[in-house]
Amino acid sequence: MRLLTHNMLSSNIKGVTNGFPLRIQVEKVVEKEVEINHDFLRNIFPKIDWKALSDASRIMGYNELPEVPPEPSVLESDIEILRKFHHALLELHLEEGALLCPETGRSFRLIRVFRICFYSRMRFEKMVWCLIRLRFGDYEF
Amino acid sequence: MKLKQLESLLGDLQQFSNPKVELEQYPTGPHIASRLLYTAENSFDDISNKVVADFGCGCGTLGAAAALLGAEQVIGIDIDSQSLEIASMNAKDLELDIDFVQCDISSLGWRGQIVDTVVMNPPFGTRKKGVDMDFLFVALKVASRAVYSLHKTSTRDYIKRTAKRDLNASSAEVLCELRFGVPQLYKFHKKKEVDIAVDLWRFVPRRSGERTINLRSAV
Repeated sequence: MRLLTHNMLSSNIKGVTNGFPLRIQVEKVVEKEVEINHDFLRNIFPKIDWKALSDASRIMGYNELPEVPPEPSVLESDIEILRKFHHALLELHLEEGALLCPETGRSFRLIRVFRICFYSRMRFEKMVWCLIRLRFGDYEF
Repeated sequence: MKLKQLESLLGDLQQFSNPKVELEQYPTGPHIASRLLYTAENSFDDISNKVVADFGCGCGTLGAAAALLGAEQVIGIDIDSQSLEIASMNAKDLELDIDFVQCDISSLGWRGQIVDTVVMNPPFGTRKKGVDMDFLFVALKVASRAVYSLHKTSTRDYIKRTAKRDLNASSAEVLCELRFGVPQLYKFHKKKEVDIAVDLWRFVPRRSGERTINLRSAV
């Protein structure tokens, strides 16, 4: 799960007045490089809760993002800050762990989905595909 | 990417193995999915470099199409864990980085209008009355640019009125009428396939100030 998604999610527990941001319980972080898009970053910057992003990235092990948000005009010229913003927002993935409601402490687990398939009958090679989904609430039908 | 190529990639995706009738789980075919996203991108520039959410994503067809057409981030939301497992695997097969959230749409905890575009093929409300409007209500709260949605043509007038009057839409336009081929999925289906007249809608939400939304209490 990327921190961009974390920046949008808030606790949905009844009675909670401010469920944002969810607290991150890290078990495993993976960094995946993705091409930087300066225009996208400049457009999304005003919508991002910078403090939540900065705190979350620190918890994930990335300490380069400044705690104080830059002025929007700085983003026009400072490529270095854009790179750090990009890295925190899109390249850090919470692979295993949980998100906690800030008021109740109730935990929402990240679930890895495994699929084991045999590559070919001859070689019986195992491929393990690990996938992530974030789960809110418990549902039974 | 060409339309035919997109359609072909979507056609390879896995669909529901055990569809749940109470959730109105029907696959969004590659024909409709590719045209919906292609129109959203080429006519309105609503997909590439944007944050896109797929509400009621099921097996993730619409979200995958958005990612293939260059969405910067796609989030898929569905109530059913089994569908999300399939959606996760589909995303992995296409090497797409999509975040999935398991949640009932009417109790989604969301902050503001960071999402640019919502794409969805919501349940029509044949099992749980009014659920199509629940989806639209939440979508118009979450999206900042546009909502693309499929609804039965028979509900066209009602949706147009309600969207603008009650659901915060500044515009509600039917882009085209489609035939949604519903395959024989459930025991009560008598025919091999039935075509349902469906409208592809584009809604534009009214802009609002930044705020944290507790959608559960708002619905």
